[in-house]
Amino acid sequence: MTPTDLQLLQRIDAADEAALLELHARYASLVYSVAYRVLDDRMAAEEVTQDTFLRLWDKAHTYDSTKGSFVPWLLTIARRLAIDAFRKQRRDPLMHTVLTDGDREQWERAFASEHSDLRSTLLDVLYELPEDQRQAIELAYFYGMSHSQIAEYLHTPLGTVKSRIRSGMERLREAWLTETAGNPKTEN
Amino acid sequence: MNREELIDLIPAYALGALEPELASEIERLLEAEPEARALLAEYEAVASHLAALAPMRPAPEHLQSDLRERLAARRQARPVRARLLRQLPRGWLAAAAILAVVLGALAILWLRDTGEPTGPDGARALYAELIALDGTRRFAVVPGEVDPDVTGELVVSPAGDRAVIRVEALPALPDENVFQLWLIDTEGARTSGGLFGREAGQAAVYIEVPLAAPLEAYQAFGVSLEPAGGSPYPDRPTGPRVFSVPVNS
Repeated sequence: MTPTDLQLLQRIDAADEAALLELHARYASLVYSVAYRVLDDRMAAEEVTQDTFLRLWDKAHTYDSTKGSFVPWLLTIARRLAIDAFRKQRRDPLMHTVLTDGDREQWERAFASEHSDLRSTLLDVLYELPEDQRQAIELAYFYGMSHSQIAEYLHTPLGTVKSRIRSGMERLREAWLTETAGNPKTEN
Repeated sequence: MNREELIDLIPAYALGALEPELASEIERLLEAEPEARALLAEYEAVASHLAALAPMRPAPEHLQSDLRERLAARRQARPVRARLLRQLPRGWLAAAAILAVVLGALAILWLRDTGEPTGPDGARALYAELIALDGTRRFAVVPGEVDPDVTGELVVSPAGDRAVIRVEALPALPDENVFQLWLIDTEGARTSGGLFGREAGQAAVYIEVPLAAPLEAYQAFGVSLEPAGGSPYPDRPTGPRVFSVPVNS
């Protein structure tokens, strides 16, 4: 029987390297994709991927399943490490990425693999956000930029940036609430 | 800022997009109002799935074996580090003696493995020469998993034929270990650039990069922590990465 992510985390906590390698086999591509999205650099993304799993090796005991599912937690570690690396590289953020139906299907599977009940509604809204809202949200999420940094980077008034982020996130929240209404077991 | 304005900023707070002062105001609101906390939880749930905005890329296959090797290297390095730490309180003389032996060995290894005429002093002089030139290119050091505080830069001559890394906050070198420089070409092939150490009290370490081709032939340089004598493999590290310097992606 295939062990769950939670079972593998418990084994990692007991210093079972095979368990970490199993999670790596499952999720390295997700982690690598996030790191690459931030860094736009193959080698740097590889390093962040490995750093993420070594961090997992050291900190598996800090995961709390009552606060959210494992995959978003792991990807948060990856994103933060990638943002740290990005800030040291002093590069410009990558804009205008193209998402395909294949990307969408894989992310839907990834988030639905454990307890998360992410359904198509949220991804529908996410992938169809107006370009200006998505751009502002991506700069905050993938690059750790603040309102004022985004405004400066986009040469856009601060109030406009605040409005774009608020409107985009509100659309996504409404989609999330629609899904959770139909899935009472959804965490968070 | 009034309550309604703060409520409007909760989505940005969930994304981490607020300046510290505003974030503090939101936190005070969150402490006081369960309704605001519930709203934040919903936005955080949304934010935790924004990774889906990243195009999917398959992780390179070699990462699995690389992780296995890094875990093995950690297994070997940890007892050495622990042993060294236990020894330190016994007295500085003992520590200094160990350090002297290690540095002596490193000096020999440096000369043997790099075959370069420049040692640390030569690398320092080359760094000073390069940063004084117009058109010198600079690349930031990205810390690895050994110590997140490592910082520094690579400077490359305008012609792309001479390069030096200046790095600060290198971690203390455990007994029986050395740092090893790697040159990674645009195809991903790694070659050793030699071994080096760190002198006690040295704020910055200068490492000349023995370029065998113009800079454009490389995608990055990196330094790993290896057992004495360096990686047993000529084409790959076995220990954890200390830092890297991406130059061409």
